Amino acid sequence: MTRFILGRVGLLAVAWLLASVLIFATLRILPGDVALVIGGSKASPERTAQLREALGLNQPILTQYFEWIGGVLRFDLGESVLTGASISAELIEKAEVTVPLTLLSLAIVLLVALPLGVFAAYKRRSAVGQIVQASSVLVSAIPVVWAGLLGIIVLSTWLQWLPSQGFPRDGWSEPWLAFRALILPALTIGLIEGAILFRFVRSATLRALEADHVRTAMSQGNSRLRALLAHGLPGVGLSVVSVLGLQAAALLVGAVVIEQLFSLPGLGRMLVTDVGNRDLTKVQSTILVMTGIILALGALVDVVHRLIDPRMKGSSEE
Amino acid sequence: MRVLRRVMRTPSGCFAVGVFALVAGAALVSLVWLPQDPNAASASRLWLPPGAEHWLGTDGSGRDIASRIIAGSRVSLGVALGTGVLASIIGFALALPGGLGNRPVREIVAVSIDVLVAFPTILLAIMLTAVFGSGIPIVIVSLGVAFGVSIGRVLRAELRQVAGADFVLAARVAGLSKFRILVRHLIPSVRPVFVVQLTLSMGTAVLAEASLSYLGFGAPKAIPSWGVMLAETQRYISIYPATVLWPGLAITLLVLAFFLFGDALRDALDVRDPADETAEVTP
Repeated sequence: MTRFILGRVGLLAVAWLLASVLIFATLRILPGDVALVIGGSKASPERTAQLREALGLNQPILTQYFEWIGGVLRFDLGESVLTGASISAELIEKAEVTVPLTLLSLAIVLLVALPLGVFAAYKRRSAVGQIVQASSVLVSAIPVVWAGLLGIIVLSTWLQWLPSQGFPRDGWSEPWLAFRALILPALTIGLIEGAILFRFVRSATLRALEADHVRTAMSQGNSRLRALLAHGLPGVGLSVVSVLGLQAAALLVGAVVIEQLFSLPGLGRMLVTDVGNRDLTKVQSTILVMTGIILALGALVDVVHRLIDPRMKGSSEE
Repeated sequence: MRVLRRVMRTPSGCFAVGVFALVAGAALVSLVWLPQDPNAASASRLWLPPGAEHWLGTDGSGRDIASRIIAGSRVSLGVALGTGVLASIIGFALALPGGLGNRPVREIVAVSIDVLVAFPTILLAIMLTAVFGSGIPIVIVSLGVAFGVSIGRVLRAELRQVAGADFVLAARVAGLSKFRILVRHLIPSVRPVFVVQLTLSMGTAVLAEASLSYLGFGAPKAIPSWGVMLAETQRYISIYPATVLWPGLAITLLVLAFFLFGDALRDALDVRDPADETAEVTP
């Protein structure tokens, strides 16, 4: 088991370094002069030269890469070229919105997808099961922005249950207000991503219903429902865990659109603003951090999957 | 053609083909004729309700919504087709060496695919936009690369499996050239999985284009597009909620057509459900 974890962590490190090279290459090598991109073509030559000096662009490209990645490994992501503020400090501040938003959306995804997926598979041939299945296809075809706007119209403008925009200025000092601001955003993305996980849960449950051990349980006199719940579901849970990392990653990235839509001061909105301001070094560091989180989630899920899979018990000390 | 007839036999297949015909027809007709100029703004006709002259009414700049919806089909369809072509090229470019090459080549491709798949589409699009500025070509390139990698991943696994099958061995024993085996046996065997993945990717591309246009990273404002229309309505939703309906409905219908077509195609070609794959196409 230890060997498996070490191996997985090693793979994570390699993938993360490859991703960092990819990000660096895309943002630095392709576009000619970064100082010109950041300063804009109207910037004076002095300003451009000053930027180039500040960004260390006069150094060889490899030195630039190693200085950046060395800083990242010491948790020093550098400063924004435009504002001079520390990038790490700002990332942590913005994460206070994005992380709760992602967790809340994930909770909604699971609450929607798990029961409905199992139900739709169990009642596959009934009208209700078919309707649930058809709605999932419909929901997954709805653009997130549209779903959000419809949600605002119904829940904020008409019913006035939830705020349509924004996040309390003093953050989590009033937890209920902050939480309320996240409900509609999380519902929007949670329902749409939930429709995707639903498909996965349904087909996993269908496979479980056909599985030999579930059939055996039925032949021993258990009802179909009991056989599924007691013998089929552990397998379904196991396959859901294996895609949970991917789901969380999709939600984290989906936050980019959602935070813009609901004016939430999180990581995604910051990224969009930075792209608009051409703050390339900040974009580069933010994307590297987000990619790192996504890769780490993938690794974590692999390890958890391995830990809870009973089939792996005997093979722990290879 | 026989497959298309089988697809058309299901209601969802019929629906999908109908929507494709409608959208493609609108895109073609819009090249020569539109009910009104989609970009003609006028302060004298803001927020008109639907009527004989303006079928779906006008927006906050006095532009004709129906004309903008019809003209906007060009962008969504163009992004779907462009992404489809690019993703197919990249998918096969990864899958052929990754599935059929010698061992070191296969492993290098496998690791690269694993790293690239973890890289979210939207982040790639944001990076390319940060460098090159926004625009439809950038959208197509980033979506094409991202979906190309996931198509490549599925195709690679499929090719690996088929390459070891008995009928391929038999063809090799019969003395067929490598190229002939590839064209006559391997590619036809992976074609069903490929087309299903492709239609799903194209539907997801339409969704992703809408999101990117909303963020201001997609179609420029001067070109009528559904994504930009959706973004423009947000400021006025509390006063004119009805205008939100049209662009969103258009996008949903087209995406639904792609998804349902993919489902019907999968049944017609008897391919296993992509939900069984851990590699879902995520927008």
